Amino acid sequence: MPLFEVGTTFLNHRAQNIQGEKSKYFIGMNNANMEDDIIVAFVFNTEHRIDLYHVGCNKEKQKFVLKPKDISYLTEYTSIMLSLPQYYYLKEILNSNSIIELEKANETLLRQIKNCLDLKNVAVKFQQLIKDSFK
Amino acid sequence: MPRGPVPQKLYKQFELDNFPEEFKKNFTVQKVMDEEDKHSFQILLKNKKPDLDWFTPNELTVLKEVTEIFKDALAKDMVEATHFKNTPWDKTVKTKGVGKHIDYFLALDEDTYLSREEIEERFKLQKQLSG
Repeated sequence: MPLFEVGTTFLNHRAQNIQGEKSKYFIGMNNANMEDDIIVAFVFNTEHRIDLYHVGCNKEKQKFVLKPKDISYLTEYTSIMLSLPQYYYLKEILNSNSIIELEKANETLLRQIKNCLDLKNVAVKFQQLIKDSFK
Repeated sequence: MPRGPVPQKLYKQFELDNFPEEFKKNFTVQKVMDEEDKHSFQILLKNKKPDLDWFTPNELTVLKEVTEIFKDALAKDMVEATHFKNTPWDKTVKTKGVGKHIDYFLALDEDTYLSREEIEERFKLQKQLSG
């Protein structure tokens, strides 16, 4: 099993900004084993305008909307912001006191998220990492 | 700067050739000697090929289009193109004055498929994530 498994969600307290916004949840979309391996991650954002979207893939808007409990700790509708790929090095996740690994999304959900990505807006480097983790 | 705003700190670094070591290691900056283009600088990569895999396919398409359009242009021609009538720069100068912050939303046009609210959400998040 890889040190970091595709679909693992994590909480980053450092994503907190000076305006005192909440810490951020992310989902990692590839496996990683070596300290310098990159993990492509997408940030979660509470969805206040659920009237504008449907649960699941909203491809044109590059949002994947989760309903409460799709991931056990989610209590509100939440969008995964597929338009804003971020990256972490595995060592950051393993060694940081401010990042906490949480549960892994289930396989079906994970594949739906992956299929919702508009690859034209994902760096070529990241696309390859994601592709290699879904073989 | 009559056609500003420009990033002040970076502009001063260009003028004084006072760049951080990391920058000097990877780039050479030369003042353009052409009389017609004398306020411009040319930035050259030192013995390195850029790793374009860090860009998205959409970004690469835009980069290709821009290089195709401007490959033979002088810097002053590129400056001209971004300061035409009704561009975000022109609108800002007319409403706020020279050197004032240009609102990104002035770049929105009828082809934009996201609402202003959605773009604001992305901007806000991006800002938070970049710390």
